[in-house]
Amino acid sequence: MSFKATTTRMLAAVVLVCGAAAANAQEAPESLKIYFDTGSASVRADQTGTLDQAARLFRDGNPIVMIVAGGADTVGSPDANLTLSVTRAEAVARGLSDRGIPAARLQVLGRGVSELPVPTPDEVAEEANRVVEITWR
Amino acid sequence: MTRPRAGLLAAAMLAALGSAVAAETGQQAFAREDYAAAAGLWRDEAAGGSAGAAFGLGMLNDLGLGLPRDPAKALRWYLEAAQAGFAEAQFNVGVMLDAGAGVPRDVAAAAVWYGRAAANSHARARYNLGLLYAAGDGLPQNADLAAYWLGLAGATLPAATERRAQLAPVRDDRRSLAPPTLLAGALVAGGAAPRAEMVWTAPPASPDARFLVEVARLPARGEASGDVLVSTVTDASADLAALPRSGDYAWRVSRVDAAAARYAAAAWRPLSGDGAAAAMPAGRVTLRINPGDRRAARFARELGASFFAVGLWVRIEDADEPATATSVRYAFREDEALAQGVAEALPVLTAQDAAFAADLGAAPGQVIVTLVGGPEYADIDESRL
Repeated sequence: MSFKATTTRMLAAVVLVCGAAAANAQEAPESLKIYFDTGSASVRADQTGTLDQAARLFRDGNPIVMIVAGGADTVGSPDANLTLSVTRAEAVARGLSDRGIPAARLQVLGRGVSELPVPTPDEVAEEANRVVEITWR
Repeated sequence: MTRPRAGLLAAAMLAALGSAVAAETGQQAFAREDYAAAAGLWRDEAAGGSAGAAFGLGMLNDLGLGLPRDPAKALRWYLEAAQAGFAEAQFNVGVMLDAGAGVPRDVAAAAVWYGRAAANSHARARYNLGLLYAAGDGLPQNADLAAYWLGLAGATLPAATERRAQLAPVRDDRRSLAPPTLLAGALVAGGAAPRAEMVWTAPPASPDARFLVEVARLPARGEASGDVLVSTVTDASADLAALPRSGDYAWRVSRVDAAAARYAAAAWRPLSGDGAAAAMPAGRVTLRINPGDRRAARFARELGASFFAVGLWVRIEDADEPATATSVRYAFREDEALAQGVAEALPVLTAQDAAFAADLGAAPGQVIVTLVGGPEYADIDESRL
């Protein structure tokens, strides 16, 4: 699914947007995922390697935008999960910025529970859904 | 304001605009997102030797801006700028090799380009180099070097400071005084100030050990010696050295433990061109003579020629304090045999006279000879000595 199609349908909170030249996708991997503990928005120590990997794919001078999209599992209310997903995405964006990626190159989104990678009923603590996905365009 | 004056003003503005457009650079065209114009201008500028323009062309090919996306071509342009010493391009070459973009993945090669960019103060390159050293990825694992590079990167990248705090300390039984491996040395002659960019690696050594980076000018044809121009002590594994002018240079890095009077040196390597291996110094002899000691001065010249014939570089200088006897001294245990050979070459000394002197201030591979007097020469007026 293309990013544009996604934006129109999602319960999105765009925190940081930068207008940069459109560019094609980067090389594989097409996305990197960072997982969170239930209810938590802090990046776990075992996930920082993925932040490093993302930073090591980002070249200098490129007007490429890294899209940092947060998600949540279905434990709790949809509103609370939307907020949580944004907070998670912001934490990942901060991690990338701490690694020298210019903040202007980061677009931060919260998807709440609107696009679960693994669909579940309400109140299911599915780790695969507690994820921030980093993609490029 | 009257009409004619407004007209004049408009004409002046148009003229100014016209000259601005005529002088547009690739960077300006890129900034207004005219990628076709940027490509044309950058090609001209790159042909004229602009590393920034080559970097820009790399970016257009990398991202497919105004022309088809072509990672392999992007890498070639980045490389051209990188070889000219352009830090952002060196970093991007490292990233592409690290990620396998436009080229098969090669972390060892990526590490070398991160190293050159790190020497040029590129913060993210320093961070990535620190990560590679921490993980032993593409380079032998070395927490000391990881800490060094993450420490520098931490000045601007908070993640580097965090990662540095998590490094496991090096176990003492993993430390050894091994000669550094020279990974890349290049003479970057961009602009008026040529410089050497050097990258090396080494396993962890004693906390007292530091790197000594030396850059030497090789002897020109007919010259009686080369000269060590740069001696830098550092904890880094990549460094720059400003050089006075283009020429044939060689470099090496030693691991020096001054407290233990030991060192381990890499072999000298040409920095550029094809500096002949035969021209590399086998050692250095400094001949010190008392001012006015004409016999010693003449003997020093003769000795110098014969030392140079066996590959030793010679420097003749005035003794800073009056010497009373001829002596041969060295400051590192590794130089004992060299010093003994030098002592044996002197008529009044034997190999046993070569004296170890830790506080001498001599460099690795350097023997310091103090000459007092010399053979009798018929053409020197002895009464004046």
